[in-house]
Amino acid sequence: MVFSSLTFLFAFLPITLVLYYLMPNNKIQNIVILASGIVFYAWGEPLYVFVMLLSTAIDYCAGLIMHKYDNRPKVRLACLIVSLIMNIGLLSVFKYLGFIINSANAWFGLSIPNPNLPLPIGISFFTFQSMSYTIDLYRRNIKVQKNPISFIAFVSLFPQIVAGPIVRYEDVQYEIDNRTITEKMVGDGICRFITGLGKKVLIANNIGLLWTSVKEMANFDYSQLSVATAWLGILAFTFQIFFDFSGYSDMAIGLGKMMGFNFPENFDYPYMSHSISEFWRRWHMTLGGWFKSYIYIPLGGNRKGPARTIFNLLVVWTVTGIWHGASWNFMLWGLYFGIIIVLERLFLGKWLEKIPSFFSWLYTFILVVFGWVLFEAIDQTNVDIVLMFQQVFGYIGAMFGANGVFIDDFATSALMNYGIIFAICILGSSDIIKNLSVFIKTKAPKWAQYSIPVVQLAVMLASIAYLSTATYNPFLYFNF
Amino acid sequence: MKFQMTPSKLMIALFAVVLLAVPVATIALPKMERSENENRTLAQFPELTDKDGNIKWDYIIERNDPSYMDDIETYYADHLVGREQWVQAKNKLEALIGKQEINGVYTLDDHMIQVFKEYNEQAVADSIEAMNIFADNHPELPCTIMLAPTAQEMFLSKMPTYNGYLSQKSFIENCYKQLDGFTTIDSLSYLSQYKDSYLYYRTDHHWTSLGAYYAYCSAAKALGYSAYSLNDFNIETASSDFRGTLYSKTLDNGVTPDTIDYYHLKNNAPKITMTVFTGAENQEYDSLYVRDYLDVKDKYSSFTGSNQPIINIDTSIENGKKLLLVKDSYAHSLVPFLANHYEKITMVDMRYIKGDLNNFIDMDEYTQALFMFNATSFSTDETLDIIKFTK
Repeated sequence: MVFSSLTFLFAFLPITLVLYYLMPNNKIQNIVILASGIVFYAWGEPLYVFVMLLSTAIDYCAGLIMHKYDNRPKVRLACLIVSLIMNIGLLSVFKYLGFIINSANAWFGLSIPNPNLPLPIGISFFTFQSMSYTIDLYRRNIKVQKNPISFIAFVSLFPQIVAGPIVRYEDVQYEIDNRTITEKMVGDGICRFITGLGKKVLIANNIGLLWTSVKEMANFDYSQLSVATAWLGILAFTFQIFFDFSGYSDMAIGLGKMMGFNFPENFDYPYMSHSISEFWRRWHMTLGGWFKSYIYIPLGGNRKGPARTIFNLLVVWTVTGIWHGASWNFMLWGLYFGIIIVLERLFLGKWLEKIPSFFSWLYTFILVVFGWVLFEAIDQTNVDIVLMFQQVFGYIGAMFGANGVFIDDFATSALMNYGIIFAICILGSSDIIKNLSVFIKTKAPKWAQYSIPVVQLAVMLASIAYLSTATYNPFLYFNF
Repeated sequence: MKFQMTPSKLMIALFAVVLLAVPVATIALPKMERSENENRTLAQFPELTDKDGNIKWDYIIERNDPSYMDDIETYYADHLVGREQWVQAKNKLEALIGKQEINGVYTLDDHMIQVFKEYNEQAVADSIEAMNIFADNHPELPCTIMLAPTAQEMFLSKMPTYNGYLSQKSFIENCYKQLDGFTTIDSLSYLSQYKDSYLYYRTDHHWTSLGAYYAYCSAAKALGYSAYSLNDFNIETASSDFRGTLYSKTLDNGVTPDTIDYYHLKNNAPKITMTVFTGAENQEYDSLYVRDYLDVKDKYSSFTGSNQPIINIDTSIENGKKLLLVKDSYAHSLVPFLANHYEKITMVDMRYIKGDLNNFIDMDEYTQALFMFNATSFSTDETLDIIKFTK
């Protein structure tokens, strides 16, 4: 199920919330969380819900055994390895197997049949969540969860199961069994949810139409794009992916708050960053945090000398790339950021601190936009690396006038039809609105504070108007 | 304890009201089976069991497109309380944020215009080839073609050039060039002389009776009749609150509703018998106007009834002229003028004919054939292709 659907908003959510609030204590509320989570997941994946439950069951048992044999390191290690193999195995089979087979077939002239398994929704998220439990338990950072209902409730907690934020067990270990819900939390949660809904439905879907039309027109052949069309197209995607993904995280965090959970933040105005390292501290923060805790630091982080640091960074960023999808361009995208971050560590970072902040912002934003070219302007079904680079350079070439046309009717039309949405995107990527709302909440007179719920109501009604009519409603982050 | 209002409480209250009121009202209020504006039956609640009472597991479990759950979402969207008001609100918002077209409709002042931007080149090539084969197969039958412009052509100079609107003049000329053995009718130039008149409905994609009248004049030479002048007709206003297909797409109440006029010949009007073959049965009328449609949304269908496979029009004129009219719905308001010059007109809509046309009509009967389509339908429709099998 997706949050931006009528079935969710007007059937699942009211029923779940009413049942949830009627329950007298956390224990019984956890049963509502578990049941609603399974319904929520099964709604989109009636078969693969068992994959999710299997993964959860194995990690739960691994946890119990680790706890029972607390003084036998080999047993504990074995449990950890079983959990890792199972989670990474599931991820590999469903997400990467087809890609590996296609690549091997193309490169070595083989003809291994591709099972073409469909990707279970959210598998990249729930396997990571569940792995964090066994790893942290092994490291003795957390306490074992003996109650199976609490554990399944943690994994199947519907706000975050399909598209993050990646909530680690550590983040909610206390709240899963002892949470209190205050009026302020619910009110804030609702505001947060509606903000996310508006970002997704009103902004991301709208600006995404422009990128879709550029993509359809070009069909990966960028030799006809004018400079203006190429820039407008990839900027449209730049905003679409931010509002889509951060909107989803806002909805998840808001729903979590309504139910008494404080999920970690996932986005912190990434397009305001002044370096790529900073961008990645502000973009999909829970994924970055996960890789830092479970890959970068175990590899030695920056404690084993400069050469090893560079190696570790490149490993982490390549894996980050591949996490986003089974395709060469995602690996390239990850490596691209890895290399930039290494350069920033070596010398660029110091230089960026010296130049006027506008230029360091511009440097960051343009490199991020180029990143989105690698991420999105490439045919992901293709396994031919030469063709991939042709598409990359075709698009970036078009951005710099390789096709000889600066502006054409398509770009003019895009500017006239999407100009206002672009302006809204720019405003929404900055922290102006947040600062304004903080000002209203803290400094403005009491009556002005009531404007926030009223504005939120308008956003919600507008979102419903779009939802009830738009057939264009894909969640970009579902397949990662 | 005294109740203390806070912004959080207000937020919770507003959210709860929306979240509960919408589903409750949707369930409680009576449901429509049909949407008049969309001209379609609304989705039914998807059944979990088949007619023998067995649960349809494949439908529920497998990744179908659409899946069972998708169908529930569609059902909800189709029956959501205040559905058309939500659409109106959305379209207003779209206009507010600068979208120049809503659902393929460009609104210029008080006129909605169906946009013509791109077309199916293969379909056009196939249609032209099929028509050429048809003309080859019937050397004794004089074939005529009229491709009618749509409203966009009259307003093109006032519409922004950058949105990619295509010139129908070059489209039509290009099609005409590729047709062999057809006499071509340039109704576009003729209509353009009167482009400030009420040639096209403001809220519908069809031309008005006046537009059709000028098209009828433009065809006089090719079809060999002398057209009556406007003064020869009594004009009856059949409806003045017509909101057509383009209104359905935008639901914009800001555009003035349309007037539907019927043009009756003052003197010597022929007696008409219209036989409509619906595919299942023949229905007879003594007029070209089916006035029942004036009481429903789809008022344009009062011209010869809605689109049907075959409509035979027999008149009291005895001049031996019998016209085979292969057409789309633009012909429906043209035919009241043509009927004043023919003994018989057979209207054929290839979109509704399955199989061989010879099964339905006797080709030897006709003395002329007229193919008439508007530029939009000719540029997208693929069904004319089968005319090549007609012997």
